[in-house]
Amino acid sequence: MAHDAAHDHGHEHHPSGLMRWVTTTNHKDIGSLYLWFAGIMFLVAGSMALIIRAELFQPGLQVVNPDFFNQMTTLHGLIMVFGVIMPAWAGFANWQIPLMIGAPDMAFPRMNNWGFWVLPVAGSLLIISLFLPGGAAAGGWTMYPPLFIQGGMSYDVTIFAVHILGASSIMGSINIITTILNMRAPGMTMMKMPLFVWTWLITAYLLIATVPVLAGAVTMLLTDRHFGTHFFNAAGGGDPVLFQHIFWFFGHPEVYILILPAFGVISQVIPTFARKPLFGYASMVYATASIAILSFIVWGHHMFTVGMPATAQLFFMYSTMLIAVPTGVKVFNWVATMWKGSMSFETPMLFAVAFVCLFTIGGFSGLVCAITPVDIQLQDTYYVVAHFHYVLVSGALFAIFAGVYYWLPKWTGHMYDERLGKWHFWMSTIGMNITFFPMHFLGLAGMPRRTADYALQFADFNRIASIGAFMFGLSQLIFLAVLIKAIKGGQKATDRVWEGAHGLEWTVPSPAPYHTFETAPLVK
Amino acid sequence: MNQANPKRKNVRTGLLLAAVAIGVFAYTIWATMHGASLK
Repeated sequence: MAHDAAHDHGHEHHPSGLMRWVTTTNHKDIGSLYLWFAGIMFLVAGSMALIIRAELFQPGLQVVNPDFFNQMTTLHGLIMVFGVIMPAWAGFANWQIPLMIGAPDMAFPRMNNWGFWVLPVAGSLLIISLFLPGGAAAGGWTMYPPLFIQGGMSYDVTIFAVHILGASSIMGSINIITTILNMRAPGMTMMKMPLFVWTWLITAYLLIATVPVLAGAVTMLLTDRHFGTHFFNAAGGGDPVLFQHIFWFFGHPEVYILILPAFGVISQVIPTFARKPLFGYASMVYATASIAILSFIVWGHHMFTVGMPATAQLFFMYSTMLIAVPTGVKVFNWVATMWKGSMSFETPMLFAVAFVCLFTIGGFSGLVCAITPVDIQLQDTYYVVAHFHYVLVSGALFAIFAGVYYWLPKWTGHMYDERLGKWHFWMSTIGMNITFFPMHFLGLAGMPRRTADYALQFADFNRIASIGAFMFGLSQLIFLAVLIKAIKGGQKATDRVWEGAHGLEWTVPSPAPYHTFETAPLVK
Repeated sequence: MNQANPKRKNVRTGLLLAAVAIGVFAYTIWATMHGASLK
């Protein structure tokens, strides 16, 4: 930045101890806070998944009662989406975007602090709701009426938590867009920006356009519950299906909010370890923008069975299938980047390659679900559960793992333990496939989702899925060990860390100093 | 890339984005009130 150099003195004047973290306006501190919050919530929501899988280990009711089971599925979904993946990406954005565009910090550092610190409040509300009379909300993460109009106090708490999470997302995205548009280093034109910055810019626009729609929907739920309106209450002339339309107008772009930053991370990692520039940079940018635009016109595919006209079903079917085109462009570009590359397979690259293979499986099963007559069979079965876990676990989550391993040496100044990283990778990948692949068969055979008990013929595949889930869960403890080990010490990381890495973040020391790019770098 | 005085431009961009978000929120509720429900 060409601002007054006199302001660049006294870099390390910040409180220590707890107050450093409460009052911090530093993008790296706030990035770390987001990532730790996401990590803790990952353990919470992951434990809920294990309760679900423990109950489903065999038919009948063994571990929990059906109502508590439904509370677990609801909270698992809500926390994983709003408390794990979104905050993790916000953590990456805070750490990496200023470093990658040569900016000294985010555009609104105080709002950045606020945007983070409302999150633990919302997360706590969701967890505390378990202890309220009647337990936590059990109506599913999609919050559909009539259940969400009829439930007890915990439903209000859940709605309030979603409001807070939404406000945090909007503050974060305003900050990210403004930083990227206004604070790039001289010479860093839009088409020179790293792909991760591009994908986050587009994601932030999606957030601004859709999170207020969710906020509107849950506000109307609240007024239906307490203030005598009947937006979604059929008894008063309202329409519960209307909620589904509004929710999924937010919900489908939300899917891309979770996955576009993942595309960005993979587009950074693969060129580094293939030691080649990214194939088709411009087409990657246009494909990302196309996916974002198309995401606004496909929401109806989540509700093919509500009784919409055939014309609408056809529209949503074809528009959904259209998304496969830009997504295919991306997958082909990643493969072309690896083609004849001088590849090595450190842990970030392993997760990135697994992402390309497994996310594509999730993409294909998405296409299967997009075919209206097929979806009418598969709606609310385990096939859908298999589909979105391939997209979100081996997609979003694996990209988060890839990104953490990739940038951890830059964040901590130490190389992580490669042997443990590889253990984490293989245990996660094998565990994830054992868990979710059999769910395709369960769904095709007709097993409904969100149920604590099931018919005997589904027992074998469920047992396999539960064993895989515990394997996956256990492997995350290895991840935790890798993180703690790298933070505490280890081999010193060099500035560039990876032989094939390019970009501004690799020009600063490892660990990145508290303040970076106070004088803007010149990008050629 | 307003490097000379980024603060003012940042505030302008931020306020514009916040206005869009508030507008989308208000329009969602307004459109629902005047749409299929409350009939």
